[in-house]
Amino acid sequence: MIGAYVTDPRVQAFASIFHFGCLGEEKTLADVIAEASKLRRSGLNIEAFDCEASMLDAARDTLEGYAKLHVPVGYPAGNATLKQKLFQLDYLLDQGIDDSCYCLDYANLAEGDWKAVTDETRQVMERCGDRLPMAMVIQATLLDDRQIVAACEAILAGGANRVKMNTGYGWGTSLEEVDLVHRHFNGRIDIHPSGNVRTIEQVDHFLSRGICIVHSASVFEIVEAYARRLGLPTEAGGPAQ
Amino acid sequence: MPERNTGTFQLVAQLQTNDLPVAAWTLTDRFGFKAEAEYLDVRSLPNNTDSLRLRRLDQVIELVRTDASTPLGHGPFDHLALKARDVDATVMALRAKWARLDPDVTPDGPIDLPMFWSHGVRIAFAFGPGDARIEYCQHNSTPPGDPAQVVNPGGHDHFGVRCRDVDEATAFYAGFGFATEADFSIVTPDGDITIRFVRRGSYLLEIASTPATRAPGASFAGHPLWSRIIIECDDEPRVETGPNGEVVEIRNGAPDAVFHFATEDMS
Repeated sequence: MIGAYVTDPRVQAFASIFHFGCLGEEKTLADVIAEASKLRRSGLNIEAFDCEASMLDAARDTLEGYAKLHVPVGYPAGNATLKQKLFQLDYLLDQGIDDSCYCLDYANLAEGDWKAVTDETRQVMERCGDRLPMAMVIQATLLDDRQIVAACEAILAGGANRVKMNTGYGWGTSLEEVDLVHRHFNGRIDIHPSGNVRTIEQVDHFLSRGICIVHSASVFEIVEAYARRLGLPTEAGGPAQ
Repeated sequence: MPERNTGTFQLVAQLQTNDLPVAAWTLTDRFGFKAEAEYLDVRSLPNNTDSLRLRRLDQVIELVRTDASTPLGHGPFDHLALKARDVDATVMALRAKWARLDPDVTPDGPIDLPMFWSHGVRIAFAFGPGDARIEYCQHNSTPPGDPAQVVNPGGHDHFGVRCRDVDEATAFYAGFGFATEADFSIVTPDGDITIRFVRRGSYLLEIASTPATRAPGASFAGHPLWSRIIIECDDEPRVETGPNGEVVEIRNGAPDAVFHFATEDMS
């Protein structure tokens, strides 16, 4: 699957926008190690590898610094008490991870309790300071357009400046959701599409909106499609037509 | 994008730093550069590492370590400019990682310069390692068709050179094969900024004379952050110092940029 095209600087730059990972309750330690090993063997210099806090040591030991480590807090739907989630955040700060996202309490988002969203965001951002880049997850797919905009306003008011649209894990980000946030907030909030990003056409759309970070479990397939577009030889089908 | 190691041409920007691992991590984490020849966790570089080449698309930066006590400042090589597909989004991503914008140039975020090229540009200046200036440049007229420049931020846009006299500097760079592409000027309350773009291959220099650089007694930092342009090509190797103290080096035999990765036993 992985070809010599990864040595091309254009492919490396393209790959550098991606987060790839292994998240979810059904994922085992063996799964995380296998996916991290696969990434390391690939030679793709992606932005970060995503894993859950319980798998952090395994990912770190396998990657040995090969990619930044991104660990979410309250994954996937923020269904824990604030105290529990902040405890987890403190643990991750102590661990010195490189990047994170915070799953906001979904009930607050769905019920439109924007003050609660802002308060939760503020507590998280105050804890992070300038130690950990943090994106707030708003589960956009489960919200309507006005709620998405209100959620972004709420996290901005709480001091955050990155939004991760969904957690993945069954919730996918649509092009329209990204366009909505880009149209309202470009230059004020850093947008991270996540979930159901499977094709290079989706990535093209995100890149056309200036997106700098994309989360995808299909990074190898998408990068190979990009290599074919450049006319580089790939095992799946040779140069682009 | 030019081919590597084919006897053609590549422009490398040399950047001096007092703390090489920190500089390398800053360029990696915030600006999307990667070690050129192989995977490298730049945070754990050996203390005695004297230089490191980092690449993003067609732009290579050669980091060079200096003595920790050497005061570094802005020299005649004022800034490195990278392409941005959406400079507002780029700036937002930088801010999310606490990168600072240059308060002397774009303190409030991206600005439009409609007088440049056919449709104008939108730019922002950020501080890189040691407060070295890195510009992001969004060309309003750039067609979105170049598959190599779809990522945001992209690769080389230009290298900003400051000088007292544009004609004098142009003559110096003509000796390295750069030819005039366009002239622009910006009127400011302090006087005109005269700008000339010169090109060789796909690499562009922005030569500018400003009221500050023309002022009597004006000088550049003795130890500049952006310290040297390295031209990797088949020309005769040499090092020359220009009329403003800038150093240009012709270097043969560019390091093999092929990325090594498949040698580890992961079983």
